[in-house]
Amino acid sequence: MTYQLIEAIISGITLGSIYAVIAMGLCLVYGVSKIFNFAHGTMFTWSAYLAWLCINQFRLNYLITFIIVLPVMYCFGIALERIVIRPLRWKSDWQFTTIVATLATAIMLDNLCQIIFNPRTKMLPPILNGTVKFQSYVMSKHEIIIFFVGIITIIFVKLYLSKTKTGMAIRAVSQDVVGAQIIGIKVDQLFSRTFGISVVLAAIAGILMAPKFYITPLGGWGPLIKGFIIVAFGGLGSLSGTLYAAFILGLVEAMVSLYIGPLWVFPFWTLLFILILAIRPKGLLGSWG
Amino acid sequence: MNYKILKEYKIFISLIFILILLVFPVFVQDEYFLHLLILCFIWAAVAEAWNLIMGYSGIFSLGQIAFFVFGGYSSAMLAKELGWSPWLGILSGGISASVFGLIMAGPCLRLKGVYIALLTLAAADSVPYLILWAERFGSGGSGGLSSIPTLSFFHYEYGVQKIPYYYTGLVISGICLYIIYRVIHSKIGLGFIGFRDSPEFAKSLGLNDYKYKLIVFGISAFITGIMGAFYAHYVTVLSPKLLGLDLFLTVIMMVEFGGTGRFPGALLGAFIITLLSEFLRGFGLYRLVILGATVVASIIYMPKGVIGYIDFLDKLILGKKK
Amino acid sequence: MLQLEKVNAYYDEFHVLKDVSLSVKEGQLVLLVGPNGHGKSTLLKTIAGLIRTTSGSIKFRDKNINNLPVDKTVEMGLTYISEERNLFVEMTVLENLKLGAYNCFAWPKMNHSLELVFKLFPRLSERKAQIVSTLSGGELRMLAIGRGLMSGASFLAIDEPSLGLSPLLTNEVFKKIKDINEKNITILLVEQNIKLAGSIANHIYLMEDGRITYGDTTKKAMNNPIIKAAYLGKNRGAVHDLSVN
Repeated sequence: MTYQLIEAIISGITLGSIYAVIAMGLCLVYGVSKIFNFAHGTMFTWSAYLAWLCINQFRLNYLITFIIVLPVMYCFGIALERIVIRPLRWKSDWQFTTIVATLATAIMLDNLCQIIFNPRTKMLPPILNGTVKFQSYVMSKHEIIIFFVGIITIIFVKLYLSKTKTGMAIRAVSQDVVGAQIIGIKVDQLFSRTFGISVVLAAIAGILMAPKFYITPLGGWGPLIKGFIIVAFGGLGSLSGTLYAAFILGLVEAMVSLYIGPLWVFPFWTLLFILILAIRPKGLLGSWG
Repeated sequence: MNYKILKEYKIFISLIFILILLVFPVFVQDEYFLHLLILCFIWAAVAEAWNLIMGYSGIFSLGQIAFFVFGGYSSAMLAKELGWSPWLGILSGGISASVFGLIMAGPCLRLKGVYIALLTLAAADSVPYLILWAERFGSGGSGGLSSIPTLSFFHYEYGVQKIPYYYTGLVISGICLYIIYRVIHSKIGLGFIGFRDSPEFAKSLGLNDYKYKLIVFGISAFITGIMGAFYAHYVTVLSPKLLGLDLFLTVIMMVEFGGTGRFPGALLGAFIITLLSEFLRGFGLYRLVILGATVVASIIYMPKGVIGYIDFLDKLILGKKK
Repeated sequence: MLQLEKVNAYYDEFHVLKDVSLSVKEGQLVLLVGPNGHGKSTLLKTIAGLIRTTSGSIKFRDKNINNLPVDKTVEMGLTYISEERNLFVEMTVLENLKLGAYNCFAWPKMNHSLELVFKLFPRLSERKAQIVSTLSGGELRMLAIGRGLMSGASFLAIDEPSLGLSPLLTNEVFKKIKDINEKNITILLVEQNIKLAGSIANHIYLMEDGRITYGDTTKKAMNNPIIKAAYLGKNRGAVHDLSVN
């Protein structure tokens, strides 16, 4: 019993770290532009497929795959912002139009994925085979890698935001757009960069998750909605809130699938989301009014 | 030409359009074509209900297809399991969808903007699980429901004939559209628009935004549910797959392409997109790619939708004669 | 240094700036006064590049800066300090100041400008590590000005620095502005309080209903009967006090 529980906790924390990576991307974009990118999940899927292409078709290893896929996805993110988002921003009804436009883009790209890679599910091998034994607990090495890559990514993003010039500018724009403009930040350029970064985060999560689950063309919608719920739970645009929320919800998910059943995970997320919003519409650490 | 005459012209054209629709099956009995028009009727009301909540009230409800499926399933299950008359089923489909809508509206009351979009999307995505769970009550589970009873009028069985469905669809859709039209042009409709354009001002006038949100969710879900129930008894099969992206994108596109926040806009959009979508079926998987690209392009390049061009035409006509 | 000729600009649908012409010479501290809502802030925003002009020309160092994006005007050395301050409230004082030097010319000289700002506003140096949302009104205003200085600007457009400050603090802020001006930084100051700000300015413009209705040296302006009656007179002062209370 306790054995199961500890296993669930470990799997919850691993899930949490990967959810945190997905949700951070959404959170950054929302913070900077107040736009929710419904195509975030599709980016997740696309990067998994690209990784599959690199690994299964071109026989490359994971390190080179990351080196190839991440910059490609960064450019993809920037292109997405330039083509779909930028023409809509600064228009009066951008809130509505960006929702519909990113949704439509997501559906379009998902189906393109289906055409290019055909709808059959794909598998990626784990980054490292085998398991690690720690006393009586057995963990797969891949899971451990997910956890560490997730944590390193989180730390890296945190450092990037607090130490680098662009990172500080990203925070500045999310706190006061006019203030950012008048100190000379090129806000438009920063929007696309942030978009690029957020897509790279989705890509990291996508590649890490691919060996754990199958890759399917519509596989990005689950992580997308979970990411949203995490960001909303954490308080829209609050990065630390998002991180807390990711780990809490990761643990909750592991508990639900252990005690109630894996089928109930998604309805449970929804229920939790509704409850959170009913009790605290601003989320955990939200200052959103 | 002045504005009044132009308006009369437009009413005249609409009347002719309605007249053509009324006598259409007398001249054309092609089954496929009638089928397309029946779909147009269904989607016109669904799109208009979405337009009411999204375009007129500015509430980003992404759960409309869930209302549709909810209405369809309730009616079908009542008819199949309890032997209710489909007519009663259609009405209860609308009612159960609006109950679902009100439940959804509850947590949305205090929220705004993108939160509502997320919440409704998440709720809609939970409906397939609900259907799986309700298999024990005869929902058919993941396989879906089939051989749903067809409609009958007194002792006249509709069966697979298109013409009776055509007229039934025309009447039901017409009534629903008329209700939406009346709601938009009533005091309540003005309230919706007020809350969309300037929530603070509307509140300062003493309007209650909770009440308006509940009303708009209720009406929109009711009409969508009715159309869902009619759809169920028409195509006689339902499956959780309806909740996929396909239909969702198609209907959102009707509103967006026609012109959000304009009554004739969504109506035009429904007809154009239903026909376009059917036409694109030949393209197989490429269909959704093309549709998606069209949505994005239409949002960027024609933000006011088709109706925007008609307004432009109006201005030209009025301007030249002045 | 800055020349405006027949500038027209719209805010939404409203024609706010109507044929505005004025000039600021290098090293001057020019005061722009006038009633609320008559286009003073809009004028500053237009100069900074936040609002587009429909006609007329704005020249900065003899270069046309009409409708240049804000980041370009900042790089040229023209910095706007807004009335609302627009500080990054969840960051520390130091981070705000560092970001002030965001443009590519100021970034390498950051340490030097930081020293300068801290010398001018010792209080900010004490509160370096504090989060901005915990500062007092006067400190916030000083931080806004300090952040503007960090850009290495040779021209500051300052919008109503006295907003929300007590008379004592207002005095202090004006003194600082005078100090900045003495460091050979040209200043265009928008203010309602002509009595206080007049004493530090070289030149005064009066803006009413989107037009420049008067412009002269401070000495002459202070003796001008119209200005005296409308903006320096006792009655006017009384009305103003009442409205404040």
